[in-house]
Amino acid sequence: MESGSPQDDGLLVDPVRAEVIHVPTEGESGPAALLPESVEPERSPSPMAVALRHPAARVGLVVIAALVVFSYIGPLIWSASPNDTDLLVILQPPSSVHPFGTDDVGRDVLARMMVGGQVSLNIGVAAAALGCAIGVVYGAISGFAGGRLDSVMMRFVDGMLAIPVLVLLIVLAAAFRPNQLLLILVISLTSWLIPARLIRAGTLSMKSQDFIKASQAMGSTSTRTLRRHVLPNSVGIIVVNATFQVADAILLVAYLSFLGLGIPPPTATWGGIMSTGISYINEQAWWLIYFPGLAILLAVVAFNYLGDTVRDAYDVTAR
Amino acid sequence: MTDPLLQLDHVRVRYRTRRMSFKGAVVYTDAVRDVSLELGEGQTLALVGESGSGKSTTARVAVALERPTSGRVLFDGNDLALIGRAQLRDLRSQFQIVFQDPHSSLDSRMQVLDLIAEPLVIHKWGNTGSREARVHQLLDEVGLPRATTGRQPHQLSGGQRQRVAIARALALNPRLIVADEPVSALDVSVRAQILNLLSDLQKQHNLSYLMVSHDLALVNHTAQFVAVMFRGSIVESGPCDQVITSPAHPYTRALVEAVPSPDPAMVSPAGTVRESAEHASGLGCQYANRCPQARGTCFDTAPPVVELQLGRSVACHFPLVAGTTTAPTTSTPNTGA
Amino acid sequence: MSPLDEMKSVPDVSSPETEDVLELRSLRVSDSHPAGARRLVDDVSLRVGQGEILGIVGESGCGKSMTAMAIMGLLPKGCAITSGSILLGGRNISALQPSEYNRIRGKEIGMVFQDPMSSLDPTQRVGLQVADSLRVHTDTKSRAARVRVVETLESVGLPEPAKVADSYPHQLSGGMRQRVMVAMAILCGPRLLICDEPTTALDVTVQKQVLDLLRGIRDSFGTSIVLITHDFGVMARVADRVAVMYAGQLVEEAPMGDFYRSRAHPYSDALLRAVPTLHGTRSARLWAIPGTPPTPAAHREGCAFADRCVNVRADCLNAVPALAKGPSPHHRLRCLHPVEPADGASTSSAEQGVGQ
Repeated sequence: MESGSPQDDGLLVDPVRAEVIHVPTEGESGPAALLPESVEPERSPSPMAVALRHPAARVGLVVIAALVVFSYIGPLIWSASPNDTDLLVILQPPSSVHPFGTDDVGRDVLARMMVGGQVSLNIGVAAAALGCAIGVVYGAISGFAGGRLDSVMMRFVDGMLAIPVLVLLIVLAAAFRPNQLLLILVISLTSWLIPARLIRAGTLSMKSQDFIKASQAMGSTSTRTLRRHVLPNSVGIIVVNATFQVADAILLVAYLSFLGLGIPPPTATWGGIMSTGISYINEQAWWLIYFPGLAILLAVVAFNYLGDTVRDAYDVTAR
Repeated sequence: MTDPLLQLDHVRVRYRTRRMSFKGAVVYTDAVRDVSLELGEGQTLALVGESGSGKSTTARVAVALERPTSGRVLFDGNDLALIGRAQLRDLRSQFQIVFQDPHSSLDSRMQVLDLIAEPLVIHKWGNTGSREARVHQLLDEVGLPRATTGRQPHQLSGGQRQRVAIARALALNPRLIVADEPVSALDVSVRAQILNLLSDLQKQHNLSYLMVSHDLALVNHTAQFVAVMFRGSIVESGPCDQVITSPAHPYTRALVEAVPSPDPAMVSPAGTVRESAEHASGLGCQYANRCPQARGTCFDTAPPVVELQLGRSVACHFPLVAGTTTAPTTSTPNTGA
Repeated sequence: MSPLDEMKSVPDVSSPETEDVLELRSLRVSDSHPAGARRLVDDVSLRVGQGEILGIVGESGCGKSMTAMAIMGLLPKGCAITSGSILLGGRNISALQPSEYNRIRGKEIGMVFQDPMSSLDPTQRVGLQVADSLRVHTDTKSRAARVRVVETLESVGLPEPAKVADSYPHQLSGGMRQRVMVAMAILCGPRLLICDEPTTALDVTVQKQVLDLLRGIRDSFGTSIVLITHDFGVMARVADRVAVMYAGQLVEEAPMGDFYRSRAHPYSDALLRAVPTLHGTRSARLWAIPGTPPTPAAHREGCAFADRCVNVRADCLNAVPALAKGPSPHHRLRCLHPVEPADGASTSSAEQGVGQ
């Protein structure tokens, strides 16, 4: 059944094989020999393990790990301060003293990139986790309850989806002074809609399956069935969606910072550094555009790679 | 006479199907029209019929997985619709269901130990240790080695999975097991094992079975009583051997004749059933369109349920068996298809 | 007189050892398993004569469907014919290019699958879909094609064929859909029809009619048919000859009547006994075969059925038994310790009294 790569191997010694199984009573009823009903020794690894075998997933993981090391461990090694200005060395191209160059007030771009990475990853991961959590609970309840409650809950999602996220963020950023926590909240409050829909669809299709019916027939409460059967079987959908959400959130943070509506200065952000670069495009400060641009690209692509392969792995094992 | 363990009383299940039209008119379909049946302690009743006859829906109604639109379901005298939610949940320990496909009825992520222990956990039976002991005992009963506990469903064969499903159904010592085509997803050589297991368990635990099947030959081996369903109604019911040796309803006879014999010398002549994709009008006999002996009345009056003898009834204007005799009638000349 | 005589007469009279329509010569199909290629079809040799219906029977994973796929050139990815050959009318088709195979499929070999609903496109009228294969293989004009389609639909016993041609699949009953599939398969007048579990998805009352239709097609067009099934009842109704497969191997092969009366392989015997009948005594225990059907293996030490067999002896475990001559003429058997000619069969048929 598990197509993908076949795992069974008829030659493995199997503990279950070695034991007596069915005991036919009288000789009338079948061959007298008591022989084991053999077990197919088929072990299929978890879809996650399958996904991680894929080169694209590995590339994604390595890039993500590199970005994490760069952003969080980097500042411990690279002692330059991200916020110290030095007007003597403004807009310096990369050199041995400043490997990524300096910006318009002489701050070290490498150090700022590291801090910017922290901001991006913090907000991306936290917003995705929060958004998925909200979406999963909402979608599972909606799908499992069905009927009128489901209709109402889904119409609300449709309504929310009609609001353009970027516009909403711009309005909010103009009204409040953004900080990391606020951005996380706002992004997750808009990003839960997609996982909610996905989980609802998954729950609906799962609801008609016999093992859900079986758990009802055993007298399981709806909450328990949701918790023990529906959610664990939705892990694939959730994980896949979460990785895409991280990528989206990182991109969104970059947009906002680029537009000057993100985390306010002096905190460094990738979008903010790029924005400075654009202002000095005539001075050909390419290092202010290329380095953060590359970082954003790498982060987004890496998370998407990972999500894609995990999704493929779950598709393969899906019945 | 003791009360039956399970009683279905004029059960109707109606689904709403919205037709694709601009008016959005709501159309109702009756999956089960008017089904009444009784099942006593320790007995087996088989529901037989083709796909879409409502036999599976009836089975799901019997274990309260589906609510009847009208009519009553009584388990041990309790009306399942009237008792409270919590009470129903408690009562569920006494009736269980085994599904057709053990691949989809077992949560594929769970290990056999947790699968079989699940009803015990739900009904707060014992502690971890005693539950594990109970699971081992159940595995012994269904003929699986104890080493199976650590496996996942996909590591087991179809027959073994079905044994796990049966063990799970037995966990709380139920009195009734509803088995919805319990062997039709299995290999021929494994089917007999499972059927024998079910019959052994019945004897040991005095279980009642409501068995759903499309295979009359299999029913002949497993059930004392049979109810033949056609498009949501029971067209004939009674003791299995009588119904099979002298069917009273033309549809039952068609089913009996359709059972293929593995002996080439026994191959029955060409079919007498007419095929029709059209549904009969709501008024007359549902089978009239396909019946080789339908007459005028069949098309405009629904046939009454006639009791032929004690415990044997048929819903037909022109039953093939007259009341109180068991002699098979070979009426109606068949001129082939 | 009896249906049995009728069945046997066809291959014997019409084709006295003439050229076979289909011949499999030591066909072996393997997959590409990381732990070594496993033999899904292991050394299968079979012949199907002109106008003959060969039934291949077995359980899931026994290689019967793989054999059918191999004949049709539709082996799934990763599986390939590793040795042996497939001869269609004397021509080796096992080494053909996919494009060449397309010319044979549908034209010389027709196919009928298990589930007629999923084999038909729900959005297209039935007539158009049937005509498709005609347009692929011949340059018939659409009007002529239409006439031909309606004729064929009529020949498979569909009432009002013109109306059926204009219907969508969901407007037809299961049995009618399967008739449409048969019409599609025979439209180009193939010499060989391969039916993979053609009645499994149908209701019992309709099964019989579709099986009779297959025999009718053989009788009127002389088409040879390979019928794949797990059901001996189905087999008995249509097949002239039976081949039993187990673990990728052919374990027994005989004319239908001989097979039923003098089956000798313990597996065939047990399988036949395990089938519940209408005439057995109620609530008697069924004859059960212990164990589960085997999974494909790279190679086998002894007889594949040994671990489930009643007659197993020490020598069964040493070497795979050869396919040798069986107890009756035209009977082949792969067993060292065959069962005695079955008596259970005759008693059960003596009790037979229903179904006219």
